[in-house]
Amino acid sequence: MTQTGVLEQDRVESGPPLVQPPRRPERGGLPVTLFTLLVLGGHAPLLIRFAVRAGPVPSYQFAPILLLGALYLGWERLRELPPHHTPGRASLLPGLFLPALALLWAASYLWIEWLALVAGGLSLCAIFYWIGGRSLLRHFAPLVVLLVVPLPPIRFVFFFTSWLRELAVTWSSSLLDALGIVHLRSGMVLDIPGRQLLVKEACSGINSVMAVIAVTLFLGLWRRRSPGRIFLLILAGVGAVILANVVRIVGGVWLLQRFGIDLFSPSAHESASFIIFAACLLLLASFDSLLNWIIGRDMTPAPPRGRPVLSNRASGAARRLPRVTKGMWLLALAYLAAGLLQVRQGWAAGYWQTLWGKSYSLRSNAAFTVPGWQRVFDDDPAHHPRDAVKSARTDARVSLRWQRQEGRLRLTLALDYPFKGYYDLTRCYAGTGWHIDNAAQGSEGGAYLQTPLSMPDSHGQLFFALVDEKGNWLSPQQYGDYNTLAGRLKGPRPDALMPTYLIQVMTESYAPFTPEEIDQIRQLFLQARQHLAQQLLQQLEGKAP
Amino acid sequence: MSDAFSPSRLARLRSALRAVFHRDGERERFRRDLLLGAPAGLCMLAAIVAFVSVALVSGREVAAQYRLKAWKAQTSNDHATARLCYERLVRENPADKQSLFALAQVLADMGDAPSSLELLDRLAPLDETGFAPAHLALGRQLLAATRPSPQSVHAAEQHLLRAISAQPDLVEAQGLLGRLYALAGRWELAQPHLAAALKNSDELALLMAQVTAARGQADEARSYARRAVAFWAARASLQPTDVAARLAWAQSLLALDDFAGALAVLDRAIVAINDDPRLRLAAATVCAGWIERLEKSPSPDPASALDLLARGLKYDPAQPALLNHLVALTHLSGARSESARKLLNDLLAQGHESAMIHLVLGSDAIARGQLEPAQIHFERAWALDPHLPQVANNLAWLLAFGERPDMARAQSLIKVALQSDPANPHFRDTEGQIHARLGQWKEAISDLEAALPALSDPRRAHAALAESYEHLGMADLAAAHRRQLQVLDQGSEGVAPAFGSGKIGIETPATRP
Repeated sequence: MTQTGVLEQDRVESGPPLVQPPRRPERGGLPVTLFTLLVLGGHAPLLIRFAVRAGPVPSYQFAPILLLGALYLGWERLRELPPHHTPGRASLLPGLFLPALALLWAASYLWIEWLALVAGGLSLCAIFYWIGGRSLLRHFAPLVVLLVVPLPPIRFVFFFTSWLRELAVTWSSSLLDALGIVHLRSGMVLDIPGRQLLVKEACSGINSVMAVIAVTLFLGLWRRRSPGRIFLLILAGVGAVILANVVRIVGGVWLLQRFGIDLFSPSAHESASFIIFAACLLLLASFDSLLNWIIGRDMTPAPPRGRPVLSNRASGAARRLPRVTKGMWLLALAYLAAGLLQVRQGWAAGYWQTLWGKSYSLRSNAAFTVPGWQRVFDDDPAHHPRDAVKSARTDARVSLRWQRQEGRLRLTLALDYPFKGYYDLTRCYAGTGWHIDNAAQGSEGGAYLQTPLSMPDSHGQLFFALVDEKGNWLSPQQYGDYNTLAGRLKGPRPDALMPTYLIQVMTESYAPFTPEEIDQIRQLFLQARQHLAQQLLQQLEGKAP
Repeated sequence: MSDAFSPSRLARLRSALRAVFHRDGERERFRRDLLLGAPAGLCMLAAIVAFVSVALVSGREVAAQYRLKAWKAQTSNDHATARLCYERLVRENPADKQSLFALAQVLADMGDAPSSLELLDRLAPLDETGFAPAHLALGRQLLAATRPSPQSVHAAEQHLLRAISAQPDLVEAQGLLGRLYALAGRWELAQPHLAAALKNSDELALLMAQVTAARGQADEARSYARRAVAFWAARASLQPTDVAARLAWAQSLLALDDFAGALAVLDRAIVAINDDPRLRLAAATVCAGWIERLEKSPSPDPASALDLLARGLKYDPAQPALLNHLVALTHLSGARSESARKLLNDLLAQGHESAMIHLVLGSDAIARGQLEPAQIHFERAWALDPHLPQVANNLAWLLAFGERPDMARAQSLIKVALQSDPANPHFRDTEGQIHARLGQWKEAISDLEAALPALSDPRRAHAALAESYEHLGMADLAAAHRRQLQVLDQGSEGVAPAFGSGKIGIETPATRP
């Protein structure tokens, strides 16, 4: 019987454990814990903000499960703590801590949450090396990887998922053609006879790609797969998500057209998302077995397990905790200062003030009317097939729409809120297949953007503007640089997070618009936005009704 | 049954499963991996097959598939699918004018006329030659209006010319253009287009007969009329309930001066097609035309004319041309006048009351100086049809200048008449006389000056104008109108001015050329 066998038997059965907990705390344990807490606390404000921002994003909804997985993995690794480890070399510590600290300071000043997460990962690595040298670092490195890699920047996730979604729609469209199913694709929208499917909704299974990556990473690290195998499994996971969604879209359209079975209804949609997620995980497990069959088993044997301890005298192992020097305390203070800087930056930007409660001041019972325009609703069966009402959808929580017919022009007016700062509406239209032509900025009565849109068979005219709660009209130049490095270097802007309201007028036609028609649309937009802005400012909380 | 779930069998099953999943050894593990990895392998295989099949489908095949589906959907009135198919075809190839045109047609079928028009305008701009069928469709649409404006007619002409220049064998465009020119009386332009259209079908032979007749080509006209008779007779026999075919057949016979034949066709049609009012009106019109022909003949036959009048009024007691003939007969003296009057009274007594008959009887009563009965007839006519401006005009005149004047009602009635035909000189004259009677001199001058050039008996207008100018202190102009009045009076010595030059007969907008 091997030693592993003895240990496992000892752990499972009732005999005395080989690994004993310390009878009294190790000297130096408290300073090390305090130092670690100070270092990690320095990251806390930005990480809290990251959690709050990413929380509502569907692609990050797996994060709590990821944390549980990380905890479990940490517990596992703690049980398998190597019997011999000594603190890392002091001469290497500045090389590990200082880049992490610099990154944290940069994240704090520039107010970039994800950078703080990366800095946190590096700091954890440095702490592991400081406490247990290279062996402890290697032992816990998977934990750091699991905490950082599946949580990329929010903006990257948006781009990545929209790229995947586009891929899924393109492939679905090609497959529908091969199956001879009539449809028309416009960006992320699939038109089938009598129905318009916005794949953004129909295919939110794409959002599970991040969860699949996280689960694959967890399983790979837990099952001690090699980095190459984990990479292959992640690739397979992404492929499985795309394929599952292609099957879902194509199958849904086929069932709807052939048998009238609607898999895109909200209830079926939710169930389908779970089924797809489960199917992807099963496929991943199957793919892992397939790899075993093709290229052989790949598993690093687990070290002997015991109860989680930081030092173990009973086993005779020499575990020594490092001494916290003055320099280390100074380092901890620098981390703490970075945390305080984050608090200050957040305060200056008005972030902490809006962390709790409603993020905008418009009364919940606010009502709007626009003379000459008729209010419409998305589910109104009287909608014309070419109404822009459905395509002009944004990410806003509230969306009110009106319509108006002026000669041959069928115009849609929309008020969407709340947003924070400037919102580039043209991205929404690009997502529905419109080509964005050269936009022009207007300034009569406040900034607005006029954007000609085109498709191979259609033309569109889009006018939009954003107004904040002080009645200021936002211009892209004024707010556009906030997301650039130069803009962020200017420091926090108190108005960057101010709630804003989007007003747009959109019309589309098979024929190009004449200059007179464009001018007519502009005038109607300017009148409508003035009406809406006036009513909006009068209905903010704190104003007399 | 119990044997199937016996403990020994279950134990055997358990051991078999264990053998599959828990057997140690490299070979067993190899098998197990293969078994568990099979779903992923199959999925990958399916993805590869799908990818290859998608790659093998060419864009041309997809387009052909969509074209076929669009056509099927269009023929089965599945507009939503047809629209989607054509939109897809256009999206793939924006230069595909055939699909764009088909999309415009589908949109029109779906009731989205503005979008359809946008597409047609894009395909066939007015200022350049575009897609011929789109030009034709636009020309057809513009001419389909009940009363196309001169601008619409001009635009339609341009579209049709462009359609023909792009595709000379477009027979419908040739026919429409020929018809357009013929209606405008541009015979020499109409003829070549109609000739081109007639290469395919004799549907326009009747129009061609009328055009050639108008150009004095009598032989060609008769030849085309015969072709038209043959065509429409064949059509009517193929489609016995086709009213338009019967009407065109009768009209073709009229072009050959075969009144009796035309009436026979219409008589048969009235019996066959459930007494269609269009057929009755046409039969009455044939009778009116026949009467006219009899009156113009070198040896008129008044007895036959009166018989035809009675026959025509049986088809349609309100046929304006017949009633006009009746009015003319009432103006004659002697037995025929009495017969005509009796015929009208009989029509009323038989229950064929109509505004037109009352208008005729009222006009006859005025001519005989019987203002009270005239007013009763006009009131009755107005009650029966308040859309007849002639009744409104005559009644307004009687109310203004009769024995018991009611100026307010007279003014409101003449306003109604002018609303329906603002340029009618008789209506303007009546309004002007009413203004003069009320002392509204400037308004009176405005109306009377406008009406004057078109009045057949302008004596009362001159008198009213002289009076108006005098009251406005413009003695020279008043004197000038009095001189004109004297000249006219001398020219018609012994002829009393008609009762109200503004009073008119039963001419209706429909009968006016």
